[in-house]
Amino acid sequence: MKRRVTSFIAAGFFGLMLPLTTEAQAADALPKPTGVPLLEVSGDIKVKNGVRGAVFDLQMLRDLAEHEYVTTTIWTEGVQTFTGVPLAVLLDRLDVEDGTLMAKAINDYAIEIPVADIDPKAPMVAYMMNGKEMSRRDKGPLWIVFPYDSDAKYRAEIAYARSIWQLDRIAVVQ
Amino acid sequence: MATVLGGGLAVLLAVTLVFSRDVITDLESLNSANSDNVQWTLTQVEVEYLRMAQEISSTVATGSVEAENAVLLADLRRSFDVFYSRVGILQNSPIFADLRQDEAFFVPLGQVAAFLETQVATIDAPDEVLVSRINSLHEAARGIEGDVREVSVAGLSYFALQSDLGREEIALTLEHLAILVGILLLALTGVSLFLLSINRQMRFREAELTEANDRMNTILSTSLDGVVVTDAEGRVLEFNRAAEQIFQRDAQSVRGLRIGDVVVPPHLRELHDAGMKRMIDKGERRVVGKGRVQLEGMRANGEVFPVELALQSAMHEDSEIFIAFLRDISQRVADEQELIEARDKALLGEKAKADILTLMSHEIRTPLNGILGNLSLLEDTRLSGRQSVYLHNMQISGKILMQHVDAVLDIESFEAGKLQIVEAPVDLGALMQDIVDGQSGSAASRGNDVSWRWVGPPATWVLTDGPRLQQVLLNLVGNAIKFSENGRVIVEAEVQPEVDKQKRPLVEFRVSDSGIGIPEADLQRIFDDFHTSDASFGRRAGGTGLGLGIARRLVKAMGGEIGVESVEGHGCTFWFRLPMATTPEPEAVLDDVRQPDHKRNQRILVVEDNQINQQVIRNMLEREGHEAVCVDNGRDGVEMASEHRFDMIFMDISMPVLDGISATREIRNGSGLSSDVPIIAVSANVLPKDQKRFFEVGMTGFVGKPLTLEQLRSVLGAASPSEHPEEIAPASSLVDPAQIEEMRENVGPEVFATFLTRFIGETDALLDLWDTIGETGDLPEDMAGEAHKIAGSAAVFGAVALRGALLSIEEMAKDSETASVREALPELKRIWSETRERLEASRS
Repeated sequence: MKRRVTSFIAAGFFGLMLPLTTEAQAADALPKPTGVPLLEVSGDIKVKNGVRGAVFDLQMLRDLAEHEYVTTTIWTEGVQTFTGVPLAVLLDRLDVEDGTLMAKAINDYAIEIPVADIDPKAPMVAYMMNGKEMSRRDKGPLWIVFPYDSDAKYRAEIAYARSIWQLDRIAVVQ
Repeated sequence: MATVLGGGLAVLLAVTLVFSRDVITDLESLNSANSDNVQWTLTQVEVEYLRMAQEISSTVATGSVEAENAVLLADLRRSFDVFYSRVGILQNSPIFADLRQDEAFFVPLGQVAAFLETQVATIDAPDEVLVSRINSLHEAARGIEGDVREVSVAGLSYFALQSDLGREEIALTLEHLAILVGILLLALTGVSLFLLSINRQMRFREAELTEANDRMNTILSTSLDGVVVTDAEGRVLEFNRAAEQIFQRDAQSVRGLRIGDVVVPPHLRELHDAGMKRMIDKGERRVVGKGRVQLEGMRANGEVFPVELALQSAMHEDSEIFIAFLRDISQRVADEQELIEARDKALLGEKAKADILTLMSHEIRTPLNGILGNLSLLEDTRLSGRQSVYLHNMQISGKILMQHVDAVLDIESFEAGKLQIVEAPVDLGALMQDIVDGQSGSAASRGNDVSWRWVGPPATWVLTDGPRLQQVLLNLVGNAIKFSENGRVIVEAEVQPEVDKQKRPLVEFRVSDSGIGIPEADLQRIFDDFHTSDASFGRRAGGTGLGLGIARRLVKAMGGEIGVESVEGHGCTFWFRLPMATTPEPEAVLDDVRQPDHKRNQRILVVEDNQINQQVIRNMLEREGHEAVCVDNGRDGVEMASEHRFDMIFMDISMPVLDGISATREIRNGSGLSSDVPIIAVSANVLPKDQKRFFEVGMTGFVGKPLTLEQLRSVLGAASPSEHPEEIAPASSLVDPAQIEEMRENVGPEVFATFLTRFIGETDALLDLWDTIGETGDLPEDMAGEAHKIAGSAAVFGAVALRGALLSIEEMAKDSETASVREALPELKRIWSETRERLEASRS
């Protein structure tokens, strides 16, 4: 509940900032990917670099953020260091304030993440594990992860379900 | 109780905490799902395998169609990678760590992993190589189909079991939770009860405190004593209602003020401040805790009044307070003053009473002295039988009167506690007979008959204080006679069977009369001092009202008891019992009175203002063969004593000009001729303190008034100056030796002897002649002339007394006072016989 209130306030805050940021984004338009496209964000987004939406390669993601989690997961052995872009940062870049994210993996596994549930630092779209890019055979190239060890709420079924690996598409729907 | 409960709660709380931690842990493990959806993961392995297998099959079916190959191969490779990734999870995820220990799981999983590792090279190979090896890949994939299935099935059955276990665990956790809740409930109930009891105790204490406070306030406000409470500096904290009334101040207005400025009068304020300072500086306490002290207080209007103060200190909230209890004692002090004044008045009254008693003793005793003295002289004259009886009765009554006076004066002794009981052998029979004899006259005058008798065996001789016993009996007999008319008064004595502590038998005396009796209401008061019967009886009988009071004291002093029984109108019986030891009849005592052994011819100075007493003493002394020189007051006495040598001085006490005490002092302090001779006090003042005073100024003896011959003789015998035994009185009133010597020298011894013989013969003859005068006969002829003639001869021979007696007879004879002459004759005869003796003695 508290989290929801906080998010609501945050949403309100960003809402007020909207005209300014839109102008800023417009001035700083999203570039086109130069490397292998890793992630395509489509749907109700305001910032795009293609017909269908916004496409990111690894460098574009790295340019957005290089945030790190040091945590264990229930799918791996031992402590892992993840590097990636917090989803909130990504959405901010795309000027998304509400709605629901439909995240899909290469094998068409799909989950929903309401924008309101997204914390400023969690989850994030990890593009490196233990300093290395992740291969498709090892849950790569992108993996939505939570800092599971930092908070019990990230060790719940819903967080595990949202921890989608082999991510390659996100659709923003209202 | 509270600590036990608290301890129990603490233990319970600790247990609950430990237990709850377990439960919380359990709940946390439920909360943080440690597993993804394992079933999904496991089945997904099979799904991904089938997708991969399908991709392989599609590729096999297309065969060598180049255009389609690139897309197909990409899909194949992606499906391989997805499967690879999925199997990697089964190999690495901690969720499957336990499962991986299961042979049914790890063996097929190993087969699948081996397939993946083997085929990685083929998948990663270029397209044409992959296409060329597609059949063997297809074969290998089909080869692990069963293994994938087994992995999935083994995993599912394992997790089904795990799920059961998990449910049980949850059930257990919930059970624990229930227990914990129960324990917590118990603990909370305990805590509630504990708090409830604490609350109740608190409320009870609060109520108690309030009640105590209320009570205290009630006590303070209803206290009759003023209560003032101050702090250590003397500032008023409390000032109760009584204090308000006492000091006429309002508590509100004095609160916070310094007590010294409120209640201490200005003239004491300096002292008060000094005292407070001493106490604060040095802790010195002169009043605090020292009980009640009397001080002065001041009211609002400035009135200063005596106040009684008790000051106490106490600790109150870390500081000392003083509590003063004050009482306005103005009334008490005034009452005390009144009492003191009343006492002073009473003392003055007592003194006046004592003065009256002293005066009375003097005023009554002096004339009595005269009466009894004269009776004493009269006894030695020739009396008829009836006269002797009358004289005897008069003497007894006189003595009784004297005893009455003594009785009144005894009060002084009683009051001073100086009553002395002197026991001596007493003949009870004689004593009672004397009383009956003495009272018979007064009894007869009221027509009463008085008698006494023994009841039972008599106890004639006993040891007791005779005079005191007589006093008691006389009083009772006197009363009986007073209150009876034409009746009988009987005195009875009876030896009682009881004995006292000293084994002395009790003798009961009863005085019964047939008189008017005593009302019952009066019986209780009858022995009180100054009790007299009511007016009607008083008129009939009169009295001082002291008699029975004295009787009661005397009986008590003698160790006995006294009482009365009476029926009004039928007489009454007074009784008293005294312990008396019987004693043998004493040896017959020589009658010293009749056989005086004291020296005659003493020269005695009599200092006495009363002419009758002077005369009585003179007569008594001369009668005893002494010479008396009389003066009328102390001043003359001192002069006489300084100029002449006397053998003894009789000194009255109360005299004009100079009293006996002062005269004695002057004589003793002077160096006159008689400064060292015995001085005998003659006084009606017989109070013990007076006697003491007599001796203090140098008196050597004491005789009471009335003076009797016995007393006189005893004093003369005892007080004779032994230091001058050779000195013989130079002159005698009876015969003047100087005159005899003068005549002997004048006429010569022979002629003197002849004259003397003739003189004696003539006088003998004359007196013989006069002796014949009968009681009725006339006086002889020329009696006056004969008396005159012999008187002249007597003068020649220095027979002074004889001459005096003859001259007085001559006068009486001239006046034909026959009766007087007759009365004078025995004295003349006595004087002559003594004179004759002296004259005969002077022959040699």
